[in-house]
Amino acid sequence: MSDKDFGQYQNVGRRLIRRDAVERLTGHTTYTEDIRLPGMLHGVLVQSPVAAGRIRGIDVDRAAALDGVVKVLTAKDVTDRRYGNYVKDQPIFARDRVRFVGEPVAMVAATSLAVARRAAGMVEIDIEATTPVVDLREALTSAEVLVHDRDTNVIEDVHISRGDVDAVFATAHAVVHTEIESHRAHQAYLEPRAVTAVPAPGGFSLLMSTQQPFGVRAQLAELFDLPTGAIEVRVPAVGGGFGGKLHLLFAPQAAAMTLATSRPVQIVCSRAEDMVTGNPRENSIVRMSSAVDESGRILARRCDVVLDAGAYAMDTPILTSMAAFYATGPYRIDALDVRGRAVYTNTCPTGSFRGPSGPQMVYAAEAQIEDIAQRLGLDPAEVRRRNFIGEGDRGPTGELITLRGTTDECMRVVESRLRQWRQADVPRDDHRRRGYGLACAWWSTLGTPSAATVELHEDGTATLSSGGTEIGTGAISTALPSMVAEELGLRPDRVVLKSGGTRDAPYDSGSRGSRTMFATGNATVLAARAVAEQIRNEASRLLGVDPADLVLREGRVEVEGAPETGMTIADVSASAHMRSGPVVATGRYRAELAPVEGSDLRGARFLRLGEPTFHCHGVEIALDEETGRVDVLNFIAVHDVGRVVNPVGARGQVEGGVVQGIGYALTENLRTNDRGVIVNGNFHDYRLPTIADVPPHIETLFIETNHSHTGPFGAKGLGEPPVILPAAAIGSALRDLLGVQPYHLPLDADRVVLTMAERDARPTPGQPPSTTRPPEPEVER
Amino acid sequence: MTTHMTLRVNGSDHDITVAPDTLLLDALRYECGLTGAKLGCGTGDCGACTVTVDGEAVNSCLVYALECEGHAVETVEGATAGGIGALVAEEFVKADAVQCGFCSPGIIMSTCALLARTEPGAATDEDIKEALAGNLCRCTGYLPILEAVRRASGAPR
Ligand code: FES
Ligand code: FES
Repeated sequence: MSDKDFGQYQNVGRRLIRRDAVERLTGHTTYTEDIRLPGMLHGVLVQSPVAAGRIRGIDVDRAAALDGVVKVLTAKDVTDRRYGNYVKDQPIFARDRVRFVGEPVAMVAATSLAVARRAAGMVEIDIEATTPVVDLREALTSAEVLVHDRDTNVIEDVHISRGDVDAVFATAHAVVHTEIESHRAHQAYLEPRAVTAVPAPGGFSLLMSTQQPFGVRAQLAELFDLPTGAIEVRVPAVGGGFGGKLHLLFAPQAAAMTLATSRPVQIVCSRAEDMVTGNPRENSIVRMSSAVDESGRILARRCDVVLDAGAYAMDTPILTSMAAFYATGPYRIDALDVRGRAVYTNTCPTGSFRGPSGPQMVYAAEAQIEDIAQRLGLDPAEVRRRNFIGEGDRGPTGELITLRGTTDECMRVVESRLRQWRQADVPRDDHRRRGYGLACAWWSTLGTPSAATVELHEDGTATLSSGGTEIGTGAISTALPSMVAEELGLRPDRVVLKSGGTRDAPYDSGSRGSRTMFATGNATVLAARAVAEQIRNEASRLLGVDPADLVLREGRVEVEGAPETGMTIADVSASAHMRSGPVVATGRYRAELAPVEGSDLRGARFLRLGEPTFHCHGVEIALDEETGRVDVLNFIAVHDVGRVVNPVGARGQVEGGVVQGIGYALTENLRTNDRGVIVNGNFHDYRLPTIADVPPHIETLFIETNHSHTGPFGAKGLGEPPVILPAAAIGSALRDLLGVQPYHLPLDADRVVLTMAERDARPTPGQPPSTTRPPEPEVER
Repeated sequence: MTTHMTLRVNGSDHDITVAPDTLLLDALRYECGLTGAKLGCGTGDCGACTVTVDGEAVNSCLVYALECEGHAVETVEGATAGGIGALVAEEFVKADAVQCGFCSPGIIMSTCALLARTEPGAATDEDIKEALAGNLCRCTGYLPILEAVRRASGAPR
């Protein structure tokens, strides 16, 4: 799609009211758990109580004998095939070994949930516990304690090399080292994971709270050795996902039980089950060194990223590539030596969380910028400015950047806001100290495949069939129909959306990677344009006008520049139905892969980043030095995501993402003890931001002058970026306030107090060390 | 061991069968067929299950159905069918205060309870935050919710 002709649109760029809002607000929307089918059984999983061990035996007799229990399944009752998005390592039920606390070992299905729960408690598992490896550093190097039957716990090893890093490091003006460590955070969508499997001829169907029904279907087809078409995945309303509902979750277990009993089976996780079996954001270690010249220009970078995969690979293999690709931050660095590794531990498997690997990579890259500035005695903003990546530069994987780099434009807005905040009066009775910080980032929009069908009916209304999954952003439910309306010159309420699963629509690769508005949008626009062409051709025959001179607007096909000419779209459509056939087209989209150059990629799961987006966040914080409590007082988020299709929805994405990012930075921390037990897997101890914790105002601004060359109407993706910057911005504000950078996330009260204590215990005041921990050697190679 | 009881919900009586440990939430969802109230945590920490009992917001995951015999229960389905609840829902739509919607029924009910005990326009931001501090929302970041409640509070009723 070309980016010429970005004129005014009837719908795109205007405030769109969410189509499904009233139904959701009044309690009439159905989520998976709201649907109880006749004869439905309730499934409850029996979970491993230990992090590592050998299964000696499982006694299900007492459970199976309980009145109301229909079936108990263990590993021996199901296929031994394994599943996983990238590495097939996960069994339906633990077989011989258990690898994390909470791993499904057996499953009970009963006529009531209460009975199923009781029976699950009566399944006796005899496990010989073995020593788990829980600590990431230990797992990385251990050759004795191995999570799987392999000779190392490292499951993924990615290298990016570019230029002669050694030579640059040897001769550079200075080398600056930064090392950070990050924690786990849970997606904490409000609707716990839920799935209902239903028998169907030759296979089964699912009702499932998922972000990716086509991916679920494909993986289940392989796991159960069924033709893809024998499985249908329907998606009722999804109560939030944030990456936590991309996986099969408990679909394999529900499906296995349905196949065994020929009855519908529902599994709804309790919050506690959800939090210990989910795929939280991974904890990680990021070590980064830059060789710089006196002006702060970064000449070369080494980076070593280690991600904790937990007990099964899930998404971590591809996240390892992403983390490696984001090691540069939004900066042009011509010589790179980046290594990304993922490591198995005996802990809950980690996986995608909105902007996966983003928060810690942005934190590391931005702390590194400030470390460089401090070392050279320069202004960090100036160092950033000297390094920003832009049009004509090549990114880390060697791809050419063909869009204007706008990080500087974003940062200038934030800088001016920080100046205003610094000058504002502090209330006299407020003794908390203030800190001001900012962070910059770039991110990319996933361009994975999508198809959509648009059909124009005889009455001039249209149906859009999309495989896209609405998870709350409004991109599918509201923005896509408005795009169809735009292309066909219809009012948005004349476009009906059919979506929500694999049955009614062609393939779509899921609501993830900030891709729905962009990739699902492109497929939708292509379909709508093909329909518009059919209409113009038909009208051309009817009116005797060249189709190129016809436009579709306000429900009519008119000669360009001559309103009120022509005829209604309904009449043209009805005529086409009689003369040439139904007016229908399917659009298919996959982002083109541009050639990469000059980088050597080993072990990477993909070759380049997608369409780049640019961002800067700024924050004012207040610190209570007595307690270590940090409050966010003011926040500004500036994003370049190309054309903003729906300003209302876009603001919602930014504010929601910023608050999740603040939660990640300050209070959320899914903690695992040394026995592999998650100690705060509930909403009481896992501290999500509440309405009382958010800043009074989050200013959201978009740079709208840098339209994508390939997105629909010039749009790029927005879902993930807002969540990846707040921690780095808050870290920068704490550095401003404390004089030292905290190098561990989260920045909770304990961390802040510890950082202050370490600062005060520093042997030579005024001699800034590069970390608050004993300096570690150069990046290990 | 089950008993019969009459549960008064949204102004109508429901004759239902419950066990002594049947939660109000489950009775509403599975006996009365009102699935508006949601199970988000089951421990009183998220507010997705909020309904009102005699006008007061309660977490229906923490209350037994039998305790509610003789009291007036209102759920989001009833509350938003007219009156102040409909107005609240309208303001939520306008402010874009709903995304995935799983928290919304509970938040609407906490809001209704707040507005029932305050004069029009009297609820301060602090009052609103206090009333909604027990309702988690993971999608919106809360600011549009705050805005919607302010507007609903200020509207003539
Ligand atoms: S479900 Fe009742 S408070 Fe969360
Ligand atoms: S709208 Fe999703 S939790 Fe509030």
